[in-house]
Amino acid sequence: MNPAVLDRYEPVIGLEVHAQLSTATKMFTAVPYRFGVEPNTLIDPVVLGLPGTLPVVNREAVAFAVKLALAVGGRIRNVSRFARKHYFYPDLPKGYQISQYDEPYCEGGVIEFELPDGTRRNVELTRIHMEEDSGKNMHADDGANFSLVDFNRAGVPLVEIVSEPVMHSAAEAVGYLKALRQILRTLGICDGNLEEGSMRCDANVSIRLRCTQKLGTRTEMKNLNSFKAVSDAIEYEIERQAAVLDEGRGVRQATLLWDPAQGQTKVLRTKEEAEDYRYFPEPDLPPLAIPAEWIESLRGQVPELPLALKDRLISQHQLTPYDAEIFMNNLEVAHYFESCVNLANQPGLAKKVANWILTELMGTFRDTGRIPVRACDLAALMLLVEGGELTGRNAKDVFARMLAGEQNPRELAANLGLLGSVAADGELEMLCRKLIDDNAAQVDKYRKGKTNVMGFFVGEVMKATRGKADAAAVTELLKTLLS
Amino acid sequence: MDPCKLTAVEIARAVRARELTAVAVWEAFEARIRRYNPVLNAFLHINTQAASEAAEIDRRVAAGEDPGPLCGVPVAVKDNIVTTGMPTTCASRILEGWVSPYDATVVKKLKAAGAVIAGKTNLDEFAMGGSNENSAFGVVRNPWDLRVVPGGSSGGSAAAVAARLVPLALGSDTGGSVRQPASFCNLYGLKPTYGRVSRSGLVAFASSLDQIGPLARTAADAQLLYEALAGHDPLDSTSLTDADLAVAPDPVVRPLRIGVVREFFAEGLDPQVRAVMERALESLKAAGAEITEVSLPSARFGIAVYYLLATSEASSNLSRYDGVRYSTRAPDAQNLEELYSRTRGQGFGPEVKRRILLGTYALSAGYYDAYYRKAQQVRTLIRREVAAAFETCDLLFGPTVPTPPFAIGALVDDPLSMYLSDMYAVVANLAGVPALSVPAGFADVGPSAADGVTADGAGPPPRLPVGMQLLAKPGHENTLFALSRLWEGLCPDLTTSQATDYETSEVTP
Repeated sequence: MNPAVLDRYEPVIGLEVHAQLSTATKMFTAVPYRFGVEPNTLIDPVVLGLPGTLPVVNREAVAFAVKLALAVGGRIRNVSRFARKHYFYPDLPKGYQISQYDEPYCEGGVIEFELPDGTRRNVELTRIHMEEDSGKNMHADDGANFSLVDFNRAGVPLVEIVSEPVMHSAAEAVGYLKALRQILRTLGICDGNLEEGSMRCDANVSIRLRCTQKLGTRTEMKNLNSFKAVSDAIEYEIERQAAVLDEGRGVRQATLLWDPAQGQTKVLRTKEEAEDYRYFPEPDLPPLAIPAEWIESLRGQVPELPLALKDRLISQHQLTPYDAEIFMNNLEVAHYFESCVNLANQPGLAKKVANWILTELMGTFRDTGRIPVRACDLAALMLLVEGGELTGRNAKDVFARMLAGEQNPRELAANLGLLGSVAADGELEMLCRKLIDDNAAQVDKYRKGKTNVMGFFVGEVMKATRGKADAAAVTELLKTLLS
Repeated sequence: MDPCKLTAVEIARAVRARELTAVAVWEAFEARIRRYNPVLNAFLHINTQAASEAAEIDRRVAAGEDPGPLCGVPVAVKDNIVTTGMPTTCASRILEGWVSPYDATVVKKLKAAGAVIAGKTNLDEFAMGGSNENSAFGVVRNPWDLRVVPGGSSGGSAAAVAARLVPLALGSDTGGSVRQPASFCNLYGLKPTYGRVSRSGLVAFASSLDQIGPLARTAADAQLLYEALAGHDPLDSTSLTDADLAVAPDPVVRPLRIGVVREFFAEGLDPQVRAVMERALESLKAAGAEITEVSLPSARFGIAVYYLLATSEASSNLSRYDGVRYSTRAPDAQNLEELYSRTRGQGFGPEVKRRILLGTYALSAGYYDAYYRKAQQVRTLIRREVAAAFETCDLLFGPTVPTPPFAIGALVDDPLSMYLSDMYAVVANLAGVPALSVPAGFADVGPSAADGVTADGAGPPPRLPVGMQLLAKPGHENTLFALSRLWEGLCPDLTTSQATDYETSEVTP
């Protein structure tokens, strides 16, 4: 990004995000959806728009959509309306998409997010509405005189989240998108997979001379199916528009297609070619009433949002922002962490539990996507260490067995003969004295200043106690005895 | 006992009592269909499975089961209602050969009620028309006079029932398409309360107006079929639950209060139809009904509102016929644009194209407010005026159609006059209330000489049916049937009137 461009111009960016709702069945009929399945196997007469078929609203989809509205603080209409949006395309079975138009179910709302440098931003939402997905055209190789259509995706419930044009850089746009994805995942309503298209982003970009208020002419970019594509496309478009204005020409309103391979946009259609969608209220569906009691019961199902979780991990458990962020980005682990802390129920243990999880467990979780150790078992293990019954070193050995599937750390440690500290009784001192007596040469070396011999003594003690001794305590004891 | 002369109620009773077999009933009607359908063109498809369906009914009766209220009664289904095992064409080239993989809810209900599906009946293409002349598969003839249209769009169903090719048939009514042909063929034709009968499987013309309804020769038969169809359907989000509808009061406990709609007797009403209406009102008054006059001032905008809303919805509903997934695809398209334009250009008939164009225009950016939105606003006014009228009346009264049946070909070049045929009927669709066309009498002569048809003695008697229309409050279909029973007692000759049996040789198309 050429910084000189940003000296002169302020970019203004708004995003339209389509998120597939991971409901059991489609928006208007009881057919399931999965990505990557044999074409045209997840269909029925409604999906294909056969003559005589009628839509029936999926209650779960509405519940998911309402949860999103609640999570972002949007205003939910008690009565909203579906509308038909018309255009002809082979992947659109009915020749119209059932969407919402002038009476969406949610207006307003805000998404808060953090930029990589830790600064926070609020992006206001214009609206969120529900609609159905289209199928997918599959174009055969060049030269083929046909295309194929897969209707598996047709009718999958979508929410379209439209932001206000209030972002001013690609980094902000990406930060917003990541935060939105995190919210969708936290709510468990969308898997947020950009590559598989379960979350799709269009970006509206315009630029204006700094110190002016009037928005410039915008372009809309489609096919942004990765965070990198969003970032690259926005930066490309900012520079392109700046070049156009610098030449004294005007930006033409258009819909553009981002080509990630070429790193540039091409014009899909201009304003003059824009389609007239002929929206009108969907006569096959009565107005959608969302009763206040239902909204309230759904409010109870909205979990804590990621950024709030992060803040709470820091304030309540004294985690570092860095660690809290790792948990925020791995919600399953965060919930696991909190379970462990609650089960252990011991003040001051949280930070140690967090450290343990991040150093000993995170690798396994990243590799397998699973947490193989029960929260109660990790809590028990941490309590054994905290109570001095098990050394940190031996706890790692016990934990290795737990990762392999074994449970009940107290029993495990006992069976391995690792349980019980030797630091408290006189046994340890006797051991140390015997060691000093048996190794006069080493003692001599130590006393002549070769203090690294201490390692040898400590090692011998640990060997003799099979690790049950606390290494720090042994060192202190030896120092006293050798001086 | 000739089953074809029995009513549906009598057939169901006889089959249940094992006085007749369903197979014998079907064989009698099938013979009649095969004999007269070549003339009338009422059926587009005869159900080849009907005999085995009838045999199954007989087996169940023999086993002591009750197959249901329509036990062994052949019922014809308008060909815009989808059926498995038979084509559904909507009388359009664009759907020629298409067979639905699912049954319409009403078809499932017919089967569950013990009916035998007779076949699929002709109609104006996609139910757009009032004469059946818009069918891609040929015009239907009115059994009362073969030179005359049977009305439309449910013309095939009406002609089939009037000619006793079946005792009962399903029609669909968007702006009079059950009632207008009922009026033209001397039948009872009901447009139920919007939402009373499921639209699942009815090929949509105008979703907010469409309702499936029965066509029958007696009020009791119409009621029998209606009751087999009505009820909530989870597949149709606009279908009403019983809780949505107030239970109708028993209409017999007091004199029925009939409101004569002033606007239905204004300019454009044929004097002969007016005379039939006046005689009917006198009879009803003499029988104890209270007759008052009511006004629906916005009803005069009914046709304009109807043709804006119906065409808007139709332009949307018919978008799906693109040649991609089903329907006849135009060959040799060189690109996507051509695939669409040729498929739709070749597949749709001129009236369907006209309405798609009108509706597309009404919904276009810049015109929406002036047309679609304004029409919705006037629809709300009409709805309110109808509701207000029902504060003082049990029923609203008027002619079903402003004219007697007209000659085939008389209006084909005059779509506006054709549209005016619906001017009284559309009010019930716009208001969502039930409406019944009842045989009311006959016009003394057939189509005028100006229409090119004269009663020159070569044809059947120049006596053509005229229907009266009754509207009731939402959910009060039983008030309509109560009035009909009263009426049948007053004018028994009307319901026993039969269309003449025609021999194929008499017809010179």
